[in-house]
Amino acid sequence: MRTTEKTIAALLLSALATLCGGALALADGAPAGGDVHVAQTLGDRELTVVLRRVDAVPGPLRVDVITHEGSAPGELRLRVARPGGGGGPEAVVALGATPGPHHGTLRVDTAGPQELAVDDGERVALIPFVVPVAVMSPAEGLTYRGFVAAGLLLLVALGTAVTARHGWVVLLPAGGFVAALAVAVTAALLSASTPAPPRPGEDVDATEDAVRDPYSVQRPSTSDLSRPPVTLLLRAGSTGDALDLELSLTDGASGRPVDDLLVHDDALMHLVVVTPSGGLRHVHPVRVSPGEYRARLRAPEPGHHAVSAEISRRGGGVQLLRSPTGFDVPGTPVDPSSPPAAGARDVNGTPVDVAVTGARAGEPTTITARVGTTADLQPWLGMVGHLIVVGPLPDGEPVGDAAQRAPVWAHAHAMVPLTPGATGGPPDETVAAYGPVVTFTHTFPLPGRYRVWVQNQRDYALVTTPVLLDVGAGEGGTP
Amino acid sequence: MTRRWMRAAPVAALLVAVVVAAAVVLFARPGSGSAPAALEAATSRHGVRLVVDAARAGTTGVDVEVSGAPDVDEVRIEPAMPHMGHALPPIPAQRTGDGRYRAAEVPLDMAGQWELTVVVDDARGAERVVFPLLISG
Repeated sequence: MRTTEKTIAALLLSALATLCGGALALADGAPAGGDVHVAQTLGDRELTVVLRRVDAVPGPLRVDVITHEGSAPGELRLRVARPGGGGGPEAVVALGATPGPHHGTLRVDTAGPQELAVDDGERVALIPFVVPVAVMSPAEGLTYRGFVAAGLLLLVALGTAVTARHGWVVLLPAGGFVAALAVAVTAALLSASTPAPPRPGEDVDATEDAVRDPYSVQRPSTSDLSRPPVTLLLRAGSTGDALDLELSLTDGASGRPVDDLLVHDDALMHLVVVTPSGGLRHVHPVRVSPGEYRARLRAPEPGHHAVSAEISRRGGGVQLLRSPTGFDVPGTPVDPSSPPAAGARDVNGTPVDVAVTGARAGEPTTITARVGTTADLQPWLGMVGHLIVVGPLPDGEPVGDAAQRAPVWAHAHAMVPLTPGATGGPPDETVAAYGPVVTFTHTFPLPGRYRVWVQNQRDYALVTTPVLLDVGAGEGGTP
Repeated sequence: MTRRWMRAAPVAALLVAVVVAAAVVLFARPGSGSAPAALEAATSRHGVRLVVDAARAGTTGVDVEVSGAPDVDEVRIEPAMPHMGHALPPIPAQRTGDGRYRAAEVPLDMAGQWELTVVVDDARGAERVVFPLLISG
């Protein structure tokens, strides 16, 4: 009898060990989240700030700052803090004269919404991001608990079988064992098809509670997570040979500042400015406070500038905000330059050959650009190429004024080819292996004369190729 | 002992059969992805039947059968991924027989929801039919 008791004690101890093991298994899991790439036009520099994934909290946050051609050397101070939390530990990133990645490491203490402050000494850009935690779905939890309970009940059944005087007593733990096993197996089978909770920071606001337990977030009564449109207010202030743009985003319904922009195509906001002479500026304003964004344009031209901003609100889709005012720079406008139509040309030392097929309204038009001679393009904003379309534009008018009234502003992409079996997310800017041929397909809704710009990155420099494109009337005439 | 085993054998066989049948019912899924996907739609002048060789990510052949008004000049396929805002250049389909066309290489490289627009061009103009198509990974 004493031996039996010892056996049972040993069995119970091993069961306890299993339970502890189970509890440990609860704590780990696949790391959540991925890298965040954010393009920032901070002062005179065009930077890409890459926040690497945080694997453990508290733990290190590695930040890569990628500089581009023409970026002045200097220092950036990085801080990470909770929104409104003020200063945290600092890291200094020394930017060299050579364009490329520069590294800094910060420390993150808690999961939840955070802000990365990027300070160039003159202005502080605040990049909101979320430090996620690995969470287990209720079905997964049930699976673990079911198997642990089944294991315990099996031991109890064995113990009862050895010690009990009546055989039927064994049926109680044995039945419990079968029930627990059934629960565990059912939960395991169903866990794969359990709907994921709304993603904090993407679908719903990233509060501390929502990040720690996304399953606790009450889904809205409707499946529509979208939010009201945004009003873009624009002010331009001159600072010597540069122009500081102040952008305010307010909610189209409540009028309050909009502070829920997602990082979309590797930026919080893509600001496209068409200059009076027909130039294109594609910059990424920095967030300085909720709803307030700033960008600096170098070498502004006198005359009227047309402006649009592409943004994406949390829970909603992408919106293109066209400023109804644009902005004016005092002075006499220069005559607009007319870019070449399709064909070969040289853009700041890069040979570019553009071919166009189709070019009829209502039909897909394919624009193919051969940029450089070898496959050495780098992804810019997550894409191999960007195509920006503005038109139709009347002749003999400053382009900024014409673009202000142009019915069509469009933005198409040439995507990074998928690598089968690749893990760890899309390649970043340091991978110079794409092109040289980039293809865009866009259906022009109206016939007329368009200005299009093909944008690619090569040797950490942005190659912007302007093309004049005449789109003919479609088969069915003008719609 | 042998007699007892003889009696138990059919019961055991029955049990095994039930378990196998249950497993088949539980885990068997209707095949998807690799089998050709056939879709049909009609415009005011033509009936269009679209057969995608393999609705999986990768380059696939697409057959188009056009019925109705004869004298079709050209059939093109315009693939697009609406969710990504991404369109591919139109792909002309070669005539392979009476009312039959084939585009041998349609690069549907990404898994997800696609839209294949079939353009049927004849003397009276172009007609477009949109086929939603789910491409598995």
